[in-house]
Amino acid sequence: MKFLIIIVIVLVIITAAQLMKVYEHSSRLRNKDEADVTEGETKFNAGMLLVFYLALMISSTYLFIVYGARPGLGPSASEHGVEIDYLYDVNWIILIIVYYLTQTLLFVFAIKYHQKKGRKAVFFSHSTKLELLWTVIPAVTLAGIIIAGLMVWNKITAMPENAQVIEIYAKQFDWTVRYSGEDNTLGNSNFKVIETNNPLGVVTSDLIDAKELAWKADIAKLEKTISEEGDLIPDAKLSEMKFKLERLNRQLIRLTPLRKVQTPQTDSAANDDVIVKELYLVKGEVYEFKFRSRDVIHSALFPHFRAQMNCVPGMTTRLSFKPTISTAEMRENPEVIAQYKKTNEKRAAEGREEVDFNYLLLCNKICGASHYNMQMNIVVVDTQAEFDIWYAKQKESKTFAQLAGLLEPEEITDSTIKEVIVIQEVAAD
Amino acid sequence: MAEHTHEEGHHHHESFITKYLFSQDHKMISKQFLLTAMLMGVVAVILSVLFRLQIAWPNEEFEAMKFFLGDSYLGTDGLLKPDRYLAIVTIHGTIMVFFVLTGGLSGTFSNLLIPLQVGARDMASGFLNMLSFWFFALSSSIMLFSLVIENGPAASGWTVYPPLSILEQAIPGSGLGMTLWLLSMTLFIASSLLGALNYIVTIINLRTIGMKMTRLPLTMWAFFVTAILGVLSFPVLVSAVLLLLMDKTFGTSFYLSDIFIGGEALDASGGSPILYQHLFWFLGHPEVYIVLLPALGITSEIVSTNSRKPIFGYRAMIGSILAIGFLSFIVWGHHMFITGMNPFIGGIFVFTTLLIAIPSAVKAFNYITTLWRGNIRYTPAMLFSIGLVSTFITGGLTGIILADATLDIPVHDTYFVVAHFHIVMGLSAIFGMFAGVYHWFPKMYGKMMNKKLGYAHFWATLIGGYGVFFPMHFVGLAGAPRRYYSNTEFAFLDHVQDLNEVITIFAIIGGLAQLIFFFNFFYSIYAGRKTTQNPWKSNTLEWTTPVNPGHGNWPGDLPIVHRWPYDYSNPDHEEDFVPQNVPLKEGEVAH
Repeated sequence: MKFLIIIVIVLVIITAAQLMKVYEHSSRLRNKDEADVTEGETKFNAGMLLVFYLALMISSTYLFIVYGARPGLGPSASEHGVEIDYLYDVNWIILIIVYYLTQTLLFVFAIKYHQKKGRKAVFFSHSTKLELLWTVIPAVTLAGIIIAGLMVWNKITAMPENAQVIEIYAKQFDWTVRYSGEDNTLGNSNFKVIETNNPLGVVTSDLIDAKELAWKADIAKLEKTISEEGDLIPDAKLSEMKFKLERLNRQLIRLTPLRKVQTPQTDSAANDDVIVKELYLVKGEVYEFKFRSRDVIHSALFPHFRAQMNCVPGMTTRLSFKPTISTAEMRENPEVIAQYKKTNEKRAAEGREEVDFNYLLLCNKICGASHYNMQMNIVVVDTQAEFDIWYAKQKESKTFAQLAGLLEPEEITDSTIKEVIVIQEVAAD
Repeated sequence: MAEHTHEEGHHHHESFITKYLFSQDHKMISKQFLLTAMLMGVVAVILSVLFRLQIAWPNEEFEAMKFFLGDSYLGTDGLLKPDRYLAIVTIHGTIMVFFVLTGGLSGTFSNLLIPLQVGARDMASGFLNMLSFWFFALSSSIMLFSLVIENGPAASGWTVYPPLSILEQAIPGSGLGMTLWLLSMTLFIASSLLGALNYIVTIINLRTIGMKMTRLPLTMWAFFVTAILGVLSFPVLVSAVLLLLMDKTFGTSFYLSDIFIGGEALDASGGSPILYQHLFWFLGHPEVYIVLLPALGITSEIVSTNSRKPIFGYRAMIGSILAIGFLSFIVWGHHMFITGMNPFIGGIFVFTTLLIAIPSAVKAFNYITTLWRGNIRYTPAMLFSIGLVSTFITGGLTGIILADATLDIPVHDTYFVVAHFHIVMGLSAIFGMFAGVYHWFPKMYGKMMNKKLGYAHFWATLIGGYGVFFPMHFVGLAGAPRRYYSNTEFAFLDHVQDLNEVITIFAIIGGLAQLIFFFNFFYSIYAGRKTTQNPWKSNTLEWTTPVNPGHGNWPGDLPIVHRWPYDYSNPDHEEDFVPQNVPLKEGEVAH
């Protein structure tokens, strides 16, 4: 197959070269200079410039009208988003005017002043007046754009007081939500204590004690194996075990600073945290989201709320918004209904399942192979009562205290499983 | 300078190796850069068409994937693997930004034109210049080689943000592929620095008699400022890259902290991934202008020559180039508005970034005014320059949206950004490069390129380019993130899937159109019409050399410059052009 394609390509090139030769010979006979542009060529290109200009203007207009500034996103579902949308509209009006104006000048001049016999170009090398004109006008316009932009920017980035605090935690390739509980305070967290049962690495004094015991047991077990059976273990395995031993010792030392910052308050702040896999919000409530990441940089994009913030390992980033339209209300929006009708018709034709409108959280920073499918559902309910019903259900089983309660010292953890495997392998050898 | 004049034909004997491989002649080195960049460009274009196929029709198998990428890139279902999708996106970006538009554009035209337009025998150091190319060639080879290794090339985006680019557990491409990427980039930067230093020294020290700085063609000013930007910013990237390499191989933690991956907590602590972004974009933003300024310089020259008019506002153009160059160093933060940056600092970057629009607007209007009441000759080079001005405007305008932190939030890292920078530094810069090739081909090879094929190439490229990147803005406005293997997981993106298909069709048209260029280029080298000494009736010094200048450029003495390079249609003269080496008439005042 590849061979065939290559042969075809070679034949095409040879044919083209032959045709070129014929063309070159004929133009040589007509004594044409390749550097001169003939009248016919000028006419052709002027015509093409005109056609292209018209096509560009018409298709841009078509796209502006059909897709608009927020295709398929509907109205902003957050308070600050309305201001962003408004600022967008103002900017778009300015930019579109400038776009049509400058493109028109460019193409009209490029077409109108095409080469003509006997025409001599005008020697016009500079004009301070004109140059000032197009320095000052853009400067003034930009000053307006900058001021308007910064006013909105300062407003939307200000952190509100008394907001509901929610943590959004990113890892390859999903999101986890931690509600801060009745005290509206998140418990401390640290990546060193992450376990299957504690995916966010929430820290309490009890957990540190449990960890310490578990690791000490692991260390003792390893030390025993090394000292008793060290001679029988192959070198590679032995150094692997020693590496693990060192790492466990390091981790043990690192628990101390964690313990130092723990107080009864932080413990209780942690214990009532609720850890879930979807985000429920109440319309009209102000939220402060805190973002963390476990592994690589992710970005939390809330397209319908016009909000986005990076999640960076090693630091906490923050963002605040107030949802103003509930999921149910958005599903009633005529624009949204029309769009989802169209979408579902197309999906039905392709044999895919139908969908309903949902708010979504997307990952918007390249984070690995499944980056394109790192998402979480967001539900905005109309009333606090609706939220309370849902939240009560989550509290039954998903508070941190309940999750961490599973972490008994004897419980098999990730690290002990590994050690056991190593020891078994060694024994098998 | 005048002492060591070479007589043409008398200079030392050149073997094949010293003439074509290890040449120290700036003209040959320029051709070497061009051909290497063309090869790299082909790879990058093919990759782009392949990932466009994937985005438009994510569930379909394509023979082309298998043909170009081979089985290792495909999963058991015959579709492109998601991590390999990211890999080809990464390599496409890297090749285009660095190898084609930085190395290729500056390497080709700075090398070709600087000695010829300032009136010098060669670059200040021919040897360093040769080294510059060979570093470039080596670095290109390593980058291409990384495409075929077992775990695939770097796959963390062309910006290679850590921790993704450091942790092999996070993506397979961050293993050997990433190491090769870093190695290749280090060599590339060495090449770029050697080149840039040479360009600066040559322009400052080797100008011929009478070539004042204010008589330099705008190409020279653009290349000069570009080289300065490169010298000031690339070393920062090299340090960023070296720190990344150390994090990757020696277990340091400049960029790593608090990471739990693959079931274990890593030892790294205290580093910051954001530090890398600052270092990267401190290069990265000037880099945009390293790509764009040479293209604008080339355009200034071509627009003026083919309008048969002086470039409008010569000094304002120089001022704009300098202003853009300066401002480009204090705007990098606009790439990082949503990294948790202090909003006050964000506000400062909004301000500085939007200031760049002013000199850019001046440039755009000056180009348009240059056309006004000209006598425009539609050579392919001129058409590409007109196309450049058009895309420069379109892409520049959407930049105003992205520079405004408030407006950046919803479209950051979406296809809106992709559309913006592809129009302004992809299309504009590549149009500038094509314009340059069509315009200076006679100087490089002593032959003419075929005009009719040039027209076909231009129109197909312009239509393809706009067809790809204009609709792409709306995909971004709909909230579609870049670097998504497929949009099928999000129903709200169904709305713009038909646009994605249209874009891919235009991408294929645009990609195929380049075949016309390649055919024309190589055919013309061997069988093109012979050129005359000054085919475009141009004023600049390169057209005062013989048709095929030897090493040393001018057979006799170096030309002496008496006037600025834009005396087109000067009413005091009979001809509509007056080369720079023509002495002033009696009573004529130098510009």
